[in-house]
Amino acid sequence: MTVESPIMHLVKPSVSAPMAGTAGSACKIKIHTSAVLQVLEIVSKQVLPENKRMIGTLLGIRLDDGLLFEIKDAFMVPCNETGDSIAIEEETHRKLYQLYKKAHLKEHVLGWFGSSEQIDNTTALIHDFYSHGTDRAYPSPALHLNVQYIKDGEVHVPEFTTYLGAVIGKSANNTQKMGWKTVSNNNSYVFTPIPHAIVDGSSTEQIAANFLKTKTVNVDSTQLSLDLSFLTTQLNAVTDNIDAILNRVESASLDALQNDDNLDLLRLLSNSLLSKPQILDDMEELRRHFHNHNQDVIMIEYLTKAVKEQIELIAKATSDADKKH
Amino acid sequence: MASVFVVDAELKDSVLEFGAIVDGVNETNDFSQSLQAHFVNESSEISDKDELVKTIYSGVSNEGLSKLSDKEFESAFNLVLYLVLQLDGSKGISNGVLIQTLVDINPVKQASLRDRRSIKSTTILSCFNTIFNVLPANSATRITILEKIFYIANVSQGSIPFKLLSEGLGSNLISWLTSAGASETQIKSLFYQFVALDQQYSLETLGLIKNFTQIYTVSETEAEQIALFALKSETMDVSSLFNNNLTSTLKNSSSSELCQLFLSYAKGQVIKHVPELLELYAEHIKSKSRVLNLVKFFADNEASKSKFTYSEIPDVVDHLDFEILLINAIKAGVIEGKLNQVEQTFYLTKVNRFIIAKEDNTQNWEAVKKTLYNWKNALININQVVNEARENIVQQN
Repeated sequence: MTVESPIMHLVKPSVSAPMAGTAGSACKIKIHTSAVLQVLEIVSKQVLPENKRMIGTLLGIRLDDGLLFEIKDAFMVPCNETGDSIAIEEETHRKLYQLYKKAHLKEHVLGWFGSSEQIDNTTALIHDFYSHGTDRAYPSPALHLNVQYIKDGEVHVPEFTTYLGAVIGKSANNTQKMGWKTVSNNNSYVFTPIPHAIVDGSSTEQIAANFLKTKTVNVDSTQLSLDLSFLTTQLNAVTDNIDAILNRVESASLDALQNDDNLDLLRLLSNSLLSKPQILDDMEELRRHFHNHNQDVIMIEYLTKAVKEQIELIAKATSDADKKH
Repeated sequence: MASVFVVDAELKDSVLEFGAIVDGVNETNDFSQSLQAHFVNESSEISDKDELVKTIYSGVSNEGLSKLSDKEFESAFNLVLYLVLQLDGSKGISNGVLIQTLVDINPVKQASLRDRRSIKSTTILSCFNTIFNVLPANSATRITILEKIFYIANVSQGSIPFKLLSEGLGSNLISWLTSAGASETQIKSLFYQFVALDQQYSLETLGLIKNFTQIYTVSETEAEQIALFALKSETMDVSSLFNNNLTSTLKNSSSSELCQLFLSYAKGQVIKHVPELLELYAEHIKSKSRVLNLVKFFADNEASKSKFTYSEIPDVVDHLDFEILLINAIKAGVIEGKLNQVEQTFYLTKVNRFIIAKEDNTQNWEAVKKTLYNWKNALININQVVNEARENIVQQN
């Protein structure tokens, strides 16, 4: 589904980084829901009325061509802001990142997040910190995710905006090169908004989340009967949806059925429904197939259980034998 | 939400930085001196803001920026944009000097290998992108920028892939134009200019046309443009375009050969003759219409049977040719089924129906209702089997 966006993004802006990647194409940013929750949890500590700045590091994967960033996780980095100056606890950032890196070898620092009401010089300073140096986004360009939820001293629904810091002025001539003494500080940026998509987890995660939502976990039943209950719930849900469509179609007048929205519905249904559910009509055949499938599952479960018990028995016997000696 | 400029320097330093960039290209220091002259006694105080802006514009337009390399250009342009916004506000953009400069700098010929450092069209597009995001949503200058973007895409001889525009603009174009206060004529004109840029006649653009014509009425000329686009497209089933607005215009344009051809095509009639305008695409259109004709046959007879022998299907002369036609139809996603070459039968499982507005669709609604009831009963059957199985398991435990 396409979502209308107030931001135009045709081409990735020119950024100052050795691995800025391909120019001349649009850039995509995906934010995983787990990272969104993590970021929200951190920025919500920005307690009013002190309105203390909360920032953190964004982690995830990026493509070598610099056109896709996938934010998967985040952690907080303490900072201390006094007037125009800001101090970031660099050591904490480094240690937390190295710890994270041990478990996620293929992931990198992608940039940083904050929750300021407006983008200012301090934003540029922090962005510069994340754009250079080891254990940061360098040599790729840093991303900035701003979560705005405080406007004029009041809490609002959080608004997520992702930015890339485009270069301004002569700095592009001095693009950083790998090697010694090549780092130059540049605190001037055009923070260019880049559209992002918040992506859900896998379908397996969604099934688990829906299951948890029902809050009725029958611990006495076997695994198979749990699966069957889930199947029944899904079948009932599909049947309810079919009923809803049939109600809509049957209650609409002939004129209403000719409007563009209903014609779209007719097109969608005509072109996506299989004309006849052939096998599903034959009750006996269906019952036989399903019974056979269940017998197979039960057999596998039984064998698994038997093997597990045997392993446990051997382990127990070995440990008893060791004790006697 | 908009692009935000953060510059860690005084305005005077930024002005002089721009002077240094232009002088660096021209290998003089005349421009820096002319900029310096606008500051009172070496201080940061500006003597005449309007004159300073004019001097900056002269540096931009007198080939000051066009000699920069592709890598240097965008950052230098960002600096100019920042200076103009600081000194003249959004008025500095709406007067059109910067916009025209970008259009003039845009290369109309593909750069040779010797000129590989020269400014590229995508960089110009990126600059327009930044200007657009700096402006408020209700600024009329946004309309001009969109016009210029389409102009650049048109003259850049394919160096800007249409995909860039369709992904970045497609779904937002109408809402942006409406917010910027564009008239209906402007919106229509820009939308059809955008459509004309798609030389691949893609499915995505067909979807945008469908959404657009649902909101705005369609004139005969516009209907002909849509017809040309759809007939040239690789997409076979274009019946989704036939909403109430477009179908009314096509039915009322009885004098237009193209409109009538398009209507016949969408209804699944075999096209044997195409107008001169489409002569290059004649074979393509004829072969698409044959596939749709076959689909129409299956859709009309699907209620009574699902297994068809070759002999039952009209106009099957050469079996090999017919099998290729069937495979093309399956590839296009308009039918689904299994082909048995030995028995010379086709087992149909799914077929698209051509739903066209202003036609009698009662039968199609009835067919959908019948299919939905079939599915509902089948699901009840499955549920019963599942429940029986679960009870058995609970009893065994």
